[in-house]
Amino acid sequence: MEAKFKYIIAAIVVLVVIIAGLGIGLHLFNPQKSTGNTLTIASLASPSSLDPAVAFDTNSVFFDNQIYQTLVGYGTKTVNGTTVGTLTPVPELATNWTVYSNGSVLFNLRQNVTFANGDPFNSTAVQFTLDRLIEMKQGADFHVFSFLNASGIHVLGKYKIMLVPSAPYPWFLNLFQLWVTGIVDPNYVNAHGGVQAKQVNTYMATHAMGTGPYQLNYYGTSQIVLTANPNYSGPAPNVKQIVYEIVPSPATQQTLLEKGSVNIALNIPLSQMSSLKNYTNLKIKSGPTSSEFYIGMCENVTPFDNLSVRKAIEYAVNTTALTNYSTYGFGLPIKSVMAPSIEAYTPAFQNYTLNLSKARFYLNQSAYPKGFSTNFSYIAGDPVGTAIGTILQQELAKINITISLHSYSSSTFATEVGTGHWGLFYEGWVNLLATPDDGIRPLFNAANIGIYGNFNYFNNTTVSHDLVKAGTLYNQSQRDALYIEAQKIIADQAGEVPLFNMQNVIPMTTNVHDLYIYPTFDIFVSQIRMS
Amino acid sequence: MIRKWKKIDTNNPLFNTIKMFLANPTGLVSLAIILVYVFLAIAGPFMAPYNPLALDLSGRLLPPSYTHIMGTDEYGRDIWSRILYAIRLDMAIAFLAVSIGYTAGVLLGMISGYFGKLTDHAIMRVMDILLSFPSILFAIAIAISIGQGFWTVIIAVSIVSIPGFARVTRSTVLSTKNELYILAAVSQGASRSHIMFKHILPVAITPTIVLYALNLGAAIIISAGLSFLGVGIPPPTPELGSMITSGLQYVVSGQWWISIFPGLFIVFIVIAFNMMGDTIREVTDVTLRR
Repeated sequence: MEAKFKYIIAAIVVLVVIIAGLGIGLHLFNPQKSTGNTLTIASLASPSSLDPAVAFDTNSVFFDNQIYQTLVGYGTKTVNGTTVGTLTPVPELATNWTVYSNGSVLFNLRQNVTFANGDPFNSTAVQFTLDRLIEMKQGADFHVFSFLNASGIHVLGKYKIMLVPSAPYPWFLNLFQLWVTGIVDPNYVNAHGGVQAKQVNTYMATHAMGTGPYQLNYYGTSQIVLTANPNYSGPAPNVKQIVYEIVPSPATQQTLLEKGSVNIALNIPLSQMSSLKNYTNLKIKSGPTSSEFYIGMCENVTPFDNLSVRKAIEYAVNTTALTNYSTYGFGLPIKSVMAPSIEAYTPAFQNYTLNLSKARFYLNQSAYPKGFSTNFSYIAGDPVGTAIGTILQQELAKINITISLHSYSSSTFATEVGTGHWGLFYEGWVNLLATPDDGIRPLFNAANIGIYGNFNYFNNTTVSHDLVKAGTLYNQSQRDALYIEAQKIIADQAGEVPLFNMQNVIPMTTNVHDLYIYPTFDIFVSQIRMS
Repeated sequence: MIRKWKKIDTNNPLFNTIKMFLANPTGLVSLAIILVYVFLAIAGPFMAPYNPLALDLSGRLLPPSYTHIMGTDEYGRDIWSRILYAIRLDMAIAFLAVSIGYTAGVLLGMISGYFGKLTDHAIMRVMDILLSFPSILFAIAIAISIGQGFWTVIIAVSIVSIPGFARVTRSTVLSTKNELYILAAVSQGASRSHIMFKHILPVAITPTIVLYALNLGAAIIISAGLSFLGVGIPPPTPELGSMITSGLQYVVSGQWWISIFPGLFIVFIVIAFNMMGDTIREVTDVTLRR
């Protein structure tokens, strides 16, 4: 009897395990079939925070772009029959604005707009949002609190607000396009933790209340669901529901996309794009971004403090071949320290082409004529970084520079790269405002040395002066002259090895239409139409 | 001078054990596989048709063919050549790491079992702590704290193998130290080290040999696992686990050879070590003989 009882229990356990396994399998490999109104997106990781004042990673910014709105939006343009996203300011929560000669901006706000819970949107909400940003002072909003303080926010009426920059800044208006200035509901925030100086509101990390086309419906560990906001003031989106699946494996994402179980996969390696083209149910959209990827040479580390060593490396690297092989053609080689689409981009000075004789010449001039050994650091699991390191090893070996590859988790890399202990590393910079100030200054201004962006520890008085000064000039030709001078000096000093501008590449099913590629990697689902 | 061959003593237990091992089909097959791997580990670098580190970016992702019998990887490197070098590295890691773990584990087990009391408690509680962690997770934690590298993998694998050897040795020592011949040696004034190493160790070794063979397979898996996760042998050094990792993204698009071939080599050697361990256990344990 006892044995029979054991067998029954064992059978029940096995049955439960099978049913659970089927359930998990069905969910993973056969989620709710995408209808014309549901968009399913696969991503590697969940957002770090839904709070626009805190969000700094692409996963988090994706949600903020759907749930919140900013005063100023991003425009679009049609090029050769293809509509692409631009950074041109267009009305969003502000219907129009006036920019004054001192840089101040007077916004007229849209009326009859409410948050998803029905709370009204007005200038009080804008003031609350910006004050909150300034008070919380998290890393995400350094762009804003660098040029706006509480005394610069003036409510002039229920739907009228004047913002005054704390320092001259030609791109002050563009700050209010950034997701970080997404307008939050004061009542909602105050009812859930309020605002604490220099502290994060943990409730807002997993909850959201905005005026955007979508609202948060479900937040789980493996899935997040947004549904259309019934109180949205704009045209109702075609996509009624967004299902964000967290699929930690790029290979699994690819399988799901190929089967049509997801509509968009955000993390398929570039090496797989060519094979995706063989699928008739898939298509790939790509477009240039404002990013810049480079090989850094930290002057705080011997022997990279030696100009001849840096020049030797510049001449030893075939940047075009390195770019093509590591990015499978999706990287656009650049010849300066910012993306080609950025104002004042000047390719004339970065004249280092592959020349081993010159490389050896400069190495002989340095204190290391017989070469040296060093480490090359990059983010673990980044196929582009891995490829660059592997190819660079072979290239530098030709001039007796031996590099050991070291990979680190993205969080460790982000923390350590600015400490000045890594001589050679692979890094990228996404120019959020697509301006030269946001492109060059963080990377080469002496005041940004270390964790603030100048990981190369580049320190040149003229360059620092030019970059700071240019960022205050409203006259474009005057500031461009300074940026051009800065680029010349950086190239002469071999400040880094610029590699490429990475395209934003998004594979998707063919029933997804009107997904516009933006230079800042943003995605706005409300623009998408599904068939 | 006519050299007289010494006649083999057929009553020698070691000879009989080897004879039984070779008569066992499982043992024979496992030995053959392991010998092939040992041969590849020694002669592989001389047999490799290509430099395992040489990049050929124009010949990336080529399928198996006459010129590249196991195809090429994403950098155009010949996979068969890389496997030959990787086998040498993985076998070295396995034998070295398990040997270190074996030596330390047996010593600790002997000391623990022989001295007993507080010494036994202290050592065994430490072993219990080590055993409470899943080996692979513990190895990962060690590797992350030390950093990538050959010796990191050796240290991680040897540490996780110590507790098993210590416990098996201790249990044998506990049952052996009260044998009459041991007591006789004690009464004759033999030193502790003499008793431990001359009388107890030969007895304690036998069960640990089985564990040694089984741990070799586990060592290969842990080492490959560490490299698979990016905390083991850094690139571009060929290592079976890291070769599997680098090829994973290509499996979905049909370039299966980058991951599958290194994976198969891991499978065969681990199975061979496990088969060997089982066979040794069979031939040395009279209760298990058919």
